[in-house]
Amino acid sequence: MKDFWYLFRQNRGAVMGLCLVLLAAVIALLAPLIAPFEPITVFNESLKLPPFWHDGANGSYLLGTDDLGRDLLSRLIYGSRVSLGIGFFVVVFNLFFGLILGLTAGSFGGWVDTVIMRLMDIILALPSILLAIVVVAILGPSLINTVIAVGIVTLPNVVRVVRASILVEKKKNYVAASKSFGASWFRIYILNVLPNCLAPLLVQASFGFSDGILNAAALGFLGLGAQPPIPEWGTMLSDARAYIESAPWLVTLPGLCILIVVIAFNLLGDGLRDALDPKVKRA
Amino acid sequence: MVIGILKKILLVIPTLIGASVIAFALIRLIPGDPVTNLLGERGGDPQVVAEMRARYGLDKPVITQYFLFIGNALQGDMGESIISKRPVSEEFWSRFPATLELAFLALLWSVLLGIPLGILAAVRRNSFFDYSVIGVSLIGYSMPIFWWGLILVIFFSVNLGWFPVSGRMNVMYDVTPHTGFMLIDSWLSPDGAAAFWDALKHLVLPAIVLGTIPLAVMARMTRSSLLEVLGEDYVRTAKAKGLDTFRVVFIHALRNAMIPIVTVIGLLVGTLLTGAVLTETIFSWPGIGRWLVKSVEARDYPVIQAGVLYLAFLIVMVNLIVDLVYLWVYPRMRSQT
Amino acid sequence: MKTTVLASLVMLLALSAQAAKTFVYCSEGSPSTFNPQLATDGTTFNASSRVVYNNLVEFKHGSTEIEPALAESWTISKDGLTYTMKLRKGVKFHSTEAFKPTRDFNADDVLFSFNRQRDPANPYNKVSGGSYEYFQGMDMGKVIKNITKKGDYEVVFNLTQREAPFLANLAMDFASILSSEYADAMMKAKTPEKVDTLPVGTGPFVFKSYQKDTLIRYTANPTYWKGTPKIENLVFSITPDPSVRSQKLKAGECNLIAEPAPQDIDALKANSKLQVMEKEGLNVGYLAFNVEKGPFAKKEVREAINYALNRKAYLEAIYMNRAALAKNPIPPTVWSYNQTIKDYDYNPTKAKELLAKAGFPNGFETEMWTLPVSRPYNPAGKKMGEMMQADLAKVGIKVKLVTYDWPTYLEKSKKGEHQMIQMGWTGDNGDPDNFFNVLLGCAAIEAGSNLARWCYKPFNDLVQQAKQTADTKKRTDLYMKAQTIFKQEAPWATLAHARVYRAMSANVTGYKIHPFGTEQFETVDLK
Repeated sequence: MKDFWYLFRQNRGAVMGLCLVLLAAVIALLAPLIAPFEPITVFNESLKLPPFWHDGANGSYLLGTDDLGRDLLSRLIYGSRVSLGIGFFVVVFNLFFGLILGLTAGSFGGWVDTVIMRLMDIILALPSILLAIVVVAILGPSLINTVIAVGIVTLPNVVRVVRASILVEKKKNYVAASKSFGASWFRIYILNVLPNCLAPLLVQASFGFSDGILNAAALGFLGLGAQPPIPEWGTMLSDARAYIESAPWLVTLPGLCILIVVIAFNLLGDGLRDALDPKVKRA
Repeated sequence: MVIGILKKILLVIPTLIGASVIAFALIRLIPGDPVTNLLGERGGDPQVVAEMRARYGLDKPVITQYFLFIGNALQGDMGESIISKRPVSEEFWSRFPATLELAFLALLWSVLLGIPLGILAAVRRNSFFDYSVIGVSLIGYSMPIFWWGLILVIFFSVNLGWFPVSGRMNVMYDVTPHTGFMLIDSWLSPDGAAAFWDALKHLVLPAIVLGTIPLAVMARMTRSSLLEVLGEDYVRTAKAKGLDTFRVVFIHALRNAMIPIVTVIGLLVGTLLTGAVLTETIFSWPGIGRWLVKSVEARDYPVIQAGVLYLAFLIVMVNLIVDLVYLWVYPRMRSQT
Repeated sequence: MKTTVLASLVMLLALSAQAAKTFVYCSEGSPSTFNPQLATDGTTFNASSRVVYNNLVEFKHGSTEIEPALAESWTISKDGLTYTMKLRKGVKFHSTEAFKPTRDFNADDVLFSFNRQRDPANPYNKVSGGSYEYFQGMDMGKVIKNITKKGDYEVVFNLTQREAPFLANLAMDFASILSSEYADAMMKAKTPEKVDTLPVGTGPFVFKSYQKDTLIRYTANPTYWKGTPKIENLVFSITPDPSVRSQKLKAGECNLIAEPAPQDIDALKANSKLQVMEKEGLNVGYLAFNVEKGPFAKKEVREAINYALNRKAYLEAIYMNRAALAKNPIPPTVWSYNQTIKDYDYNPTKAKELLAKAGFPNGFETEMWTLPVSRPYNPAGKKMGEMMQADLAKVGIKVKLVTYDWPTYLEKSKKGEHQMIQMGWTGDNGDPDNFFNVLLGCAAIEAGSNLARWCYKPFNDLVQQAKQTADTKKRTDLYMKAQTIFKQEAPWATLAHARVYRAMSANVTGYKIHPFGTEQFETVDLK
């Protein structure tokens, strides 16, 4: 653990990523305290006000207002809740099903393994955004369904990582030893093998965050993600497309937020990977 | 080795069958059917609605519908679009060149720029240049490309007016679609070079947008696999023998570093298709991405099931080819398969 | 010598190409087919029926009145069951790469165009999917008993029942006249579907080429029976995004754009290089009360909601003032519109009184379905739902907002699963029957277009009687009365009639917005 922290600290990018992630998390958690207004409060008299560095800005709306007169800064702040929330639940979804499927496939092997991995191949063979769009079309566009859709299309990566590391551990002596002592499946795989696979999972989780946020924003952009008035960054950006000339900041700022958060998680993931196990490659 | 290849080829079949089942079943789970959608506010006499459903085969049990679809597909008949009433295969192939042209250009520039950047970064490890490449590629693969596309449009099309806002070709050039590839067809048109330049101008921004993530991945992958190979014994030996860096990198190291790079190109096909859906939406690009998204909205079952199957086939085939190239080029990996 | 001739020819061609007047229309979507018989969407009609084809009778340019077209004149028998059409002579079909006509338009073409849609034995009935939604939707299969020709230039329609809107139906897009000779030739060549993809008609423009999702090209018809159009090339540049259309118009890449985004209209109006036209649309947006469900069976409740909704406020917030307040189920552009009807004013006190009278002094809880798609008659269903929710809360009615994706919304509402529902309608043929009967007639409950599920005998009798009366004045009286009953019984809260907008470059002349929203280019010119 100490080694890990030492290695991690060496990596300036990783530390920066961690700081950004923590900052975003704090903003998300404290949104009601930080945000000057409610994200859905409409100020009818202040439509499409520009941010403070433009002429004609109004000091009470620091980053301006949108087409309905809602404070952009507040919406962006609350938006971090939505995006981080989506990322978090996508990762939870992925880890939950990824562990079950990957562990089953890796530990039992044989036809169980074949069936599960074939299923993952099939998901990978379908164009992911199209699959996500169809899943959303089935369930209806909403935040929860965005999580499910994105979770499904990114699931194969996690299953593969879990299975691969189980297979590596399986060959090691301690597994054979516990088997010869007649240890149960549960004891071997859950108590002994699984903790040794945590490193690649942690890395995968970090990338899962960034993938989840990006995919969810893309769905939002296509109008299939979170529905207005929820301040989801992708949806906000898509709604503002009509004002791209008259109020470009409504397009640029939400996109910038997505970019920064995704970069932060990617930096963190890279750092974790290098520190935990230099050999693990991102799929 | 022959058995290994055959095994790989045979494994494609269950994947494709699975993909067809999933594509078929999922779209039928979407609430609302194409007939209701077609009639819209009008509603319709229940008898007429029943007749229309029967005409599209929607009255049969789903299992029967599936076997009909697969049976016809095996004979090369992918069904007819409910919206346009034209064969899906014709609709697909008339749009596919637009997507292919865009994807090809995107991949081309990402390879042509990404690999040299990766090599240079690896050779000058820890230099300022190296850090810049790392930083830029980090931004690149974190990029929400739908936003990136809009930013480029604001800047280069709306403000500077260098490139057109959307579409494939200025309407003033009358280009007959012989091949479907605008860069070729424009040359063949009466306006020749002028039309070609116009087509190229329309391609620049979409190709940059679609190629952004592949470029970043390519540069990163080239850099890291080259660094790995450079650290291996035989390269060190070569260096110790006094071979100059250039020779070591280009003759010995790069050849081995190409393995992961080729894999990445295979994996990028999926990324490109996803990106194509978004890029085509932003630039009103008349390709298959936009077409399939619209078909989901219209519940055009035949289009979605056949379109998804075509794309699954494409993705699986590209991956198969990448696998086979491995086996062929790198005999030492044969034993592992 | 030879080369110089060739060179001068090339130069001549180049010159003529330069001088040719090209009109670019940036349209909102791709046509699904080029045969209007097979389609239901305005995008397809714009690209086919009004450009390539003619009908027996047509709507006067920019109005809902009917005028002769391919039929020079017609007579209707006393019992209203026989329509005899005298056809125009000397009308030529287009000559294209696929087809060179050898004869003029005649009765065979009329028979072919209708029989393809009504007769399952017609060899073309099953071609291109073979479903004729509009023909069946307007009940033409049942209304037409048979069609016969008397010589080459006379056609007789025998009907099974008296049907006053029949002529208006003949002017609709699905009743476009196709060439029977072309159809026979393509059948012989074993490529019958070409009739639907490479259209040949008698209309002002000749179809030249279509690149999917990109462009459609037409050239002026030199032998057009109304005279050659003024523009030589007509191009549809398909641009689905409304803000991109506006950008293209400003950049001079289009001469005319379909449906500009509401938020762009003011900027377009302010631009001196552009002009913006507007017209009352042939539509109505409404909130229907399902009279089969609980409180809505009571007339007082329905009236109370009419009083409780501050509908004027919606015009500004939802329609951005690009609509007129609706008080009748038909827009003012349709004849028989009753000006004297008194509208419900905004009066929450009165609403409360009525609710108390109906036995709901403390209001009640209910659901409202909000429109999931943006339609001209209601561009933002959800937002309007939120405003209505607030208005109704003031009189004690607690509303839960519900919505589904569009096909599900249609399917469920058809079955009557809703309580209150936002909906709307865009007229097909300008006939009042197309509103009253389709949206409020008893038979329309089963068809799923009467969403109030309101079957009120006095109203229905008037509408059915009007449908069977040929005399327009008598019909007008009947519809006027029907509107009075409608307002008293209040099965809907009528919301708005949206205006239609078109933006074009300043040098466009001769363009008129058609009330149906379809485009016509035969009189258009560039200065």
